[in-house]
Amino acid sequence: MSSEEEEKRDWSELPAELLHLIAQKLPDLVDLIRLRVVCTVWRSSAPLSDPPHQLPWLLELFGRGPFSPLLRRKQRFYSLSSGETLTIPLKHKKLCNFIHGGVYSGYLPFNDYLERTISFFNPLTWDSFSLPPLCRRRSFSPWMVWTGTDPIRNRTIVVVDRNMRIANQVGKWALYDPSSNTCVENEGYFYQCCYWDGLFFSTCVHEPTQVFDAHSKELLQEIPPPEIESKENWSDEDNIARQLRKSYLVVSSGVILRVIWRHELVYGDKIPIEESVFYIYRLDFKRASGKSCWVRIGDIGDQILFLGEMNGFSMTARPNSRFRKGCIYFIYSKTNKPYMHDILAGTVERVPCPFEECTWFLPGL
Amino acid sequence: MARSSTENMITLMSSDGEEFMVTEKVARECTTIRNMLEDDCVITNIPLPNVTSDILSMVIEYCMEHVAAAEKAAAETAEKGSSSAPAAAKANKDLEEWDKAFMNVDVYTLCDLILAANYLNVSGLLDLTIQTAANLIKGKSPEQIRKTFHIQNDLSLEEEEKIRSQTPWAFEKSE
Repeated sequence: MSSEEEEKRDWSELPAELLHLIAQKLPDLVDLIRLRVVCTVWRSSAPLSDPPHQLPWLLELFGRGPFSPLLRRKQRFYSLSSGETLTIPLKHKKLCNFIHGGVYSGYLPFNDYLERTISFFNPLTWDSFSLPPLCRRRSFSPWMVWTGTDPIRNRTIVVVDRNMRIANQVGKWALYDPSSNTCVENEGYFYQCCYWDGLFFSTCVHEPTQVFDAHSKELLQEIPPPEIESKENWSDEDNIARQLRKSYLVVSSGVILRVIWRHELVYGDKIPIEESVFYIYRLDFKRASGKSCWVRIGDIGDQILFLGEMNGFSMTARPNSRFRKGCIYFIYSKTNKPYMHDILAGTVERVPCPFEECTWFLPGL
Repeated sequence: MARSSTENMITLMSSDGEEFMVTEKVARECTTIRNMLEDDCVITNIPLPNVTSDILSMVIEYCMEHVAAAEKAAAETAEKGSSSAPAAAKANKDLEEWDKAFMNVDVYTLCDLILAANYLNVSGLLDLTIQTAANLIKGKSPEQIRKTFHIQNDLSLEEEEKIRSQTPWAFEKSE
């Protein structure tokens, strides 16, 4: 490496479009932030407005279960892509609880008790916003937030409020659409839900999936549950008592999946989480005829599913990432620890994580 | 399918005047050259003023390897009627290993390969080199990135301080 060579080939003179391509391949937003401090040319070639496709981080939690854990002043995040732990100060001053919900790209949803509403905070940019007061009930306890698929540009947010102690109790959902500043509220039974293309899907375990027009609140369809979840297959009381099952509605590259996760419930130290079984169904959605049904599928292609306490989301795999395509990454709610299920191999293994308890967080700029 | 014209030979000339004889099939891996051949099918001698001989020989090596791998896969499919999944997976793995070894170059050569792959429009090679560069950046501090790529920091102390203060956590040493 003579000085002559250095003059001849200068990385800071690489055309902007090529450097932009490199920035797009970075596995983590932190890498982009660091790249932008290297020199002026690199800074301008890798704009924050067009960040690389980001896979989720793990957010450190304190407090198990769906009951909202408190957010700390300095919150720790773990990036599986880079293997780095980041400590990011949060700017909020108020007492607030994290809400387990859908992934709202870049933002942490939390309960704002003083304002009796839900607020969102981006720990990377310190941007924040609040929803108008929603679900005004005496005991205000929204516990699920579902968001549209492209939340940065299309901030459609669905908030679900239900007393979770009593299964299948009547709850409320509210659709908030900031672009038109409209808010639609509706009552119903909710177990798992998702929002897709102006439609709100809600499912109770063993029950048909209800499909609403999110704006008009009109009930459009009722789709029978997949056979595995139908009442006949779960009628054995003993069976029900010893098995824990959860089903998620996940929007995955334009289709809706119902992911049923089943494992034996064992009291004591040993948790046979490795023996988890997953059933995946794709919704064959017939909007016009109303004759939609669930179709069992054996793999999810280049998608990766992430399942949290309440919701799941799907992302496209990318090369050279520590996340493997065709796998389900899930948080086991009894321990709040992450696991990975390889769908084709049928295996379950622990995902390395430095935190005692955690959940998914999708960073965004 | 394979045509007899694939055996046509094309001469590629590097910026420093060296000539490389390659089959048309290998030359066609470069979209830029393929377009030239489609515009003028009798062309046999192509000067490439933007690519030096050492880099051009590497680009050709890459194209030959990938053409050979594709031909081998096609031949196996034709022989057995259908490609067997494990064999195809192994071939893919072998090619990936080859790519990995091929990317064992210094950052100056890598820079030249990116420019050449872009100029000649070899999408596979551009992807590979861009990914290699991204791998060299990931997980590094700005200082380490500068050192790796031999880049002079032209940001003023104040500018850099200001940028870093916006996201100080990104520059703290992780545990």
